[in-house]
Amino acid sequence: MEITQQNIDEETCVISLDGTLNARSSDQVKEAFREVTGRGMRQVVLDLGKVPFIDSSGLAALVSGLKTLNEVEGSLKLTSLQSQADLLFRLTMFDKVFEIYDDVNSALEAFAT
Amino acid sequence: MILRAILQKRPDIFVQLTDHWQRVTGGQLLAIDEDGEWVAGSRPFTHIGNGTLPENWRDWLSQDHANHQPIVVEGQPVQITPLNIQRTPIGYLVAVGEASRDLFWWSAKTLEALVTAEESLQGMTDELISAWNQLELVFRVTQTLGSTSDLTSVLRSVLAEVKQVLKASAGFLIQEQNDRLIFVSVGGHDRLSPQQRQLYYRLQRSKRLVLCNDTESLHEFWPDAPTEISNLLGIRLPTTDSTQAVVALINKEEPGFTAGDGKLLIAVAEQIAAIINNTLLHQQILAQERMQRELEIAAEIQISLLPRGLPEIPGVEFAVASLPATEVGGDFYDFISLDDNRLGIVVGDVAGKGVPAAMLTSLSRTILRVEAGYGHSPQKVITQTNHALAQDLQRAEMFVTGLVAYLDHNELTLTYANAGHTPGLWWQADLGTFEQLTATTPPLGIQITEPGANRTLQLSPGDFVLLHTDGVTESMTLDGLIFGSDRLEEALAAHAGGTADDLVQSVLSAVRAFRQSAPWSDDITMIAMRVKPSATPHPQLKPAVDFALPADLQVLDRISEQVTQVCRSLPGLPAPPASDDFIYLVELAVSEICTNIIQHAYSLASGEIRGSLTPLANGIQIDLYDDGEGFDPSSVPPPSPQANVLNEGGYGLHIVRQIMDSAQYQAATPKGNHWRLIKYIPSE
Repeated sequence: MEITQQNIDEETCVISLDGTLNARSSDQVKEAFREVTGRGMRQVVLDLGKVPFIDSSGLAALVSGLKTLNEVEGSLKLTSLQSQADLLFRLTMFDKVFEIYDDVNSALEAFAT
Repeated sequence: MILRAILQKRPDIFVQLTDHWQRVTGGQLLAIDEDGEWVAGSRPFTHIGNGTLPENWRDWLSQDHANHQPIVVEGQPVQITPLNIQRTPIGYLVAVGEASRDLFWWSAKTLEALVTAEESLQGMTDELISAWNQLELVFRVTQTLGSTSDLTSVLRSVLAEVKQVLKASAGFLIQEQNDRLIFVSVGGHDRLSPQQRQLYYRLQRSKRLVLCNDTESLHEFWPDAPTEISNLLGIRLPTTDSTQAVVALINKEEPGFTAGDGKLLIAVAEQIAAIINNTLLHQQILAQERMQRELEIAAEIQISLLPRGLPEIPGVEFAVASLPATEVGGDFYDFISLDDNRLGIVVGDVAGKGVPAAMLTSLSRTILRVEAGYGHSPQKVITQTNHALAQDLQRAEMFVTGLVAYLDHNELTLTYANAGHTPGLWWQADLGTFEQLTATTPPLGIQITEPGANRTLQLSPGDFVLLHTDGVTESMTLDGLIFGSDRLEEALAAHAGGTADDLVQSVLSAVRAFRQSAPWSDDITMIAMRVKPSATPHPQLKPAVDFALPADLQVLDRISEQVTQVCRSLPGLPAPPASDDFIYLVELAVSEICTNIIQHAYSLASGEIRGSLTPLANGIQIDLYDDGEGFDPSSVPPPSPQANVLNEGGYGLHIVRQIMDSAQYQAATPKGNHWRLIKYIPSE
């Protein structure tokens, strides 16, 4: 799993994942959330455009990230779900738990307003 | 005329009166009509014209009235007084000879009373006789007409007779049944007016005959009576409680209705009530008979439509039980020969009882049979049948559940689609567990927005499948306890090694023992099909890939790659991207189980995951084994989209059960776990 970060401003950043989001990579993702909130980030966009596979451990990592942001009164938006990831979110009804956007820009716009 | 008619018919009346008169006064009495013509009694003045009185007798009448002095004719004193019946002059009584004025007056009143009584009696007798004759005729007609008799027309003809006999200008009869007023009118308007409605309620509340000959009493009883109505005779009919009715006659010529008319109407009212009661009773009996006959016909049709005998198929044996709770059940089943290798099996249940349910049952079975005959897949058969039936079902506010299964005895596969029907049970002999053939699509009669997928089971020798209706699982004791699927599985498992017939009988006796004296409230239908242990297992059923890998999160990606490879090689898999979801879901399930094995069975310590990926005729079977800690399926938390229940691992099992057609768990001995996952390729 490759994780890249892009800072938009002192409170807002985009985290992009590339690879399979499962038990093997979930700790990496959880750690990334802790790292950005540690730097004062409160508005995080998570780009899943390059994640072809997510399982329940991967979902758990995303929930962990959501909790981390909630603890600092921040918020998390997911973007660019691939069709299989979208299927999982719908099956598990996690599409009701997360704010999901089509792409990074529309998520950032939502933060801006 | 009346006086002459009565005294001619009853001469004794006048004879008695003159006898008394002669004995008391020594004089004579005679009666003359309004024209002075002799009617009865003596003829004292033989030398005068017509033998009664001189031509100027009317003058005497007025003189007599004027001065109260007796008139003298031929030397004899004569008294004369008018006779009336109900204020109508009918003639005069004449006394010849000395007699007191009072006695004469009393004699005249006596004669009036006798004549009135006789007139009333005679008139009534004549009227009654003719009325009875007419009514009897009508009544006979009613009886003869039987089922075709139309109560309204019978009542109209009776009313016409009554109106004629009573010399009324109009008559009407109002009958109330099922909160509806039926209006029968003769000689008046055909439609019930609000005024007549008022009269109906007034008469209905009135306990006795109502006779109004003047406008004052008429308006007292009937406040809104139309001005053109001058008199009224009406009565409430003594019908049974199921209906209420009144009859009324209006506008008889002056001086209006008599007491005799009233008596007649009372007698007639009983007759009319009898006609109404009999007709209603008759109609009721006819309706019941018709309903009973309909039920019998429907039951005959249904029984005749059930398959005769059981299919004979190499390697598979069948048994059937079908117990209708009433004459006409909503359950149905069918065997349809599709081609040399395949047999269609249909079981269904129409929600509802009685004739409409029976009609829909026959209709549903027929359409399902026709659609299956076109060679459609089970799901398409259900979709097409729903197209054909949905409108009728929605109008009837009914729905039909059904399970359509195709058994391929060569491949030993059972492909099915289940439209909201009680899940069938598949016993997997090698695992010793049941798998449910759960619903894949909503019941017929509910709009299908997204057709479900067909599912295919790969049967093995010793396996059996039970298709049934909810009459089995919902059998109830008197206390309301429900038999349920656990008891069903228990009864089946106890005879898992037996024949198909053993299975059916085992369930039947378990249900009987369970419900004891409780009545059979619902139809019970069961079809058991059992793959004989001697049957040849399907040749395709061998793993494409076997693996044994260290239990480490690092291997998850490798296992996923192998799953993808085997899936891509499945013969029935559609081209990408249609296949991508299927492959993803299989990978997802395998990933969940393997993660569980690594994290929980081995607690991240070293161990081995073994597995085999087996292509099926229309899907894939994955077996995963480990030697780690045992697993308790009941420890899995309930599924919920709540983020806080997403604890490590447990939620994954819910996802697996949700996305796989079958996810069987078995503890291995002495230690370890075995999971068997099956997913079928969705068709259509």
